[in-house]
Amino acid sequence: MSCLYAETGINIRRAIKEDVKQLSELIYRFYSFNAEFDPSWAAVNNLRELANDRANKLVEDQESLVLVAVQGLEVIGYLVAYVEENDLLINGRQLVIKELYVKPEQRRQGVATLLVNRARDEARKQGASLVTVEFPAGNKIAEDLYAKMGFRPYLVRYVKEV
Amino acid sequence: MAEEEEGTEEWYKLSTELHRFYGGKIEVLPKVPVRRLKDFAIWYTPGVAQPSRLISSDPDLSFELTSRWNTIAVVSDGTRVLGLGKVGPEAAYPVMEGKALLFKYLGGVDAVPIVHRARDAAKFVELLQLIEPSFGGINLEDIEKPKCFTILDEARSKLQIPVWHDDQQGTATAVLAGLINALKVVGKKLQDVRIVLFGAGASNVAFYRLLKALGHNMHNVVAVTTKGVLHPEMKDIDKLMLTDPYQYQIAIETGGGGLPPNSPIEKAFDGADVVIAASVPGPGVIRPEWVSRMNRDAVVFALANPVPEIWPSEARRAGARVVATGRSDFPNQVNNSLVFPAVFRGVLDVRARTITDTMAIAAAVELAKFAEERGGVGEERILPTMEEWEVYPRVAAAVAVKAVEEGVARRTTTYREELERATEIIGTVRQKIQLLWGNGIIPKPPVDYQG
Repeated sequence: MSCLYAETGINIRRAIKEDVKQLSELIYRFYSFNAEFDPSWAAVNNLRELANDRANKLVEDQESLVLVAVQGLEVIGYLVAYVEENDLLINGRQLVIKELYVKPEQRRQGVATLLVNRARDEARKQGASLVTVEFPAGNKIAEDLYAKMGFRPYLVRYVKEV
Repeated sequence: MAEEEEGTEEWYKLSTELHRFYGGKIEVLPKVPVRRLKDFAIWYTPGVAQPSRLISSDPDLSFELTSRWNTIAVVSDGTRVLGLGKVGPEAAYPVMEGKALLFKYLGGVDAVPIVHRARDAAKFVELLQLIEPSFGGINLEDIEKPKCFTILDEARSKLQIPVWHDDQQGTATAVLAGLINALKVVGKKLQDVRIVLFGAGASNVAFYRLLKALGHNMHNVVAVTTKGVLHPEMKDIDKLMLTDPYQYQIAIETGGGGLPPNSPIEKAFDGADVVIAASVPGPGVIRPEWVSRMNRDAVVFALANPVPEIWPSEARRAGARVVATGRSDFPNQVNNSLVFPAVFRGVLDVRARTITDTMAIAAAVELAKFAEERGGVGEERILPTMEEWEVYPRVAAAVAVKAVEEGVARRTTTYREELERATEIIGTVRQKIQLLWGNGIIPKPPVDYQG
């Protein structure tokens, strides 16, 4: 099922085979961008090729939630999330947003909010009580964006080379 | 504009000698009668306690009972001094002192040079907040980008006195004034013209903001940097969002002027009416064949110092009809010294809390109008020169009235009233200096020069 937001003409739906080419471009940009924050986020040399493989996998993947934001024929943003479980916690079932990217030209128009809201609806359907989101430390733009959507800090992950 | 002209070794040597002889350029002088020691019972203790008590209960009285109303700080961290670069705070001092001299001579404004070691933007802004009670305004100077944008924006929102970054707003205001008259000469309307911003540093980013405030169609603007045309689909656009959010914003808002992504620089000139270049010293930075791609009656502002991006004669041969530079030895000098003394005169006289973009636009419009009224506009006269000193009270009056209109002034005024006040204040300064010079109190220089 897809949802068209009339005033913006932006359609949020699950990614399909026809989206692969455009989706792989967005995945490529997402990983290039994250590398700006910390060398440990550096992407592989053949990122384009592997982003394409990933896009192919994602549209087939039944486990993950893969959403695209579409305007006309153009895929302008995407979101990847999956459900995580821990039966020792009251809120044991949560949806984790792992990747989210919106094309520069369509930013500041609420596309990310549409994607996240749709992910929240899917989380409810799957019995999750929390939506969480991950992004590189130091990404202030993401911090501000999610804070504006009502998210708060929840988990900190540290890193060290081995 | 850097105030530097292309100097000769000899000129630099002379300047050093004179700086040493006079031991700097400014001093603090009393402006009240001191006839005998008893006068200090008024100016200092015990008398002074009463103004202090009154100000303590109403801090805004500091604008009435002290010299705060006419005193500003000229603040720099020395990270981008003239064309010299990161020379450090001490080396920035003579420049700030020179600025203070211009403030006093042209605008009747008492300016105090403050150079400091706060290197990061947050600390810089904190310093401004800490010293705010001493001053009626802040003029930021010679700060590297993109830090300078952040500092200006933050300080403007946090301080209750005007904060102005001359390298951004002063130059942008002078550019806008020049452009208004250049377009009169070629018979085009500002809202219709296609504009190339060549370089996206301090002054062009500020000029872009003024265009936006004027409601210009941003898709008729193309910004070019060393990275090529700023475009939403350019390579590394996401990186730009982090390294230079202001250029990033221009890329998104202009949509690259409707050009395809990764267009070569010369494409930016196709069908353009105006190019505003504030980039790196030329010649040869802007090629004549690029100017030839522009529309008929092109307007070219090549503002880099000491050498413009393209020589005016080259630009004209390539089809430009009006050419402006940052230099005083060519026609149409775009000089921010026409702007900052008057803007501060106006805002100080109404005790303004800020300088809005629309106030800067009002200054530009008045500056343009003045040039037109005094001798008309032409291909070689789009702006007045610094010698036409009546321009300063005029621009001050326009800014003051706009501040009142916008509700950012602590006291009200009319155009006529401010014109008289500014004329008197600025005129008095000239009298004082002439008196000190004529009496030999300002000593004759050991070596004289032909100014």
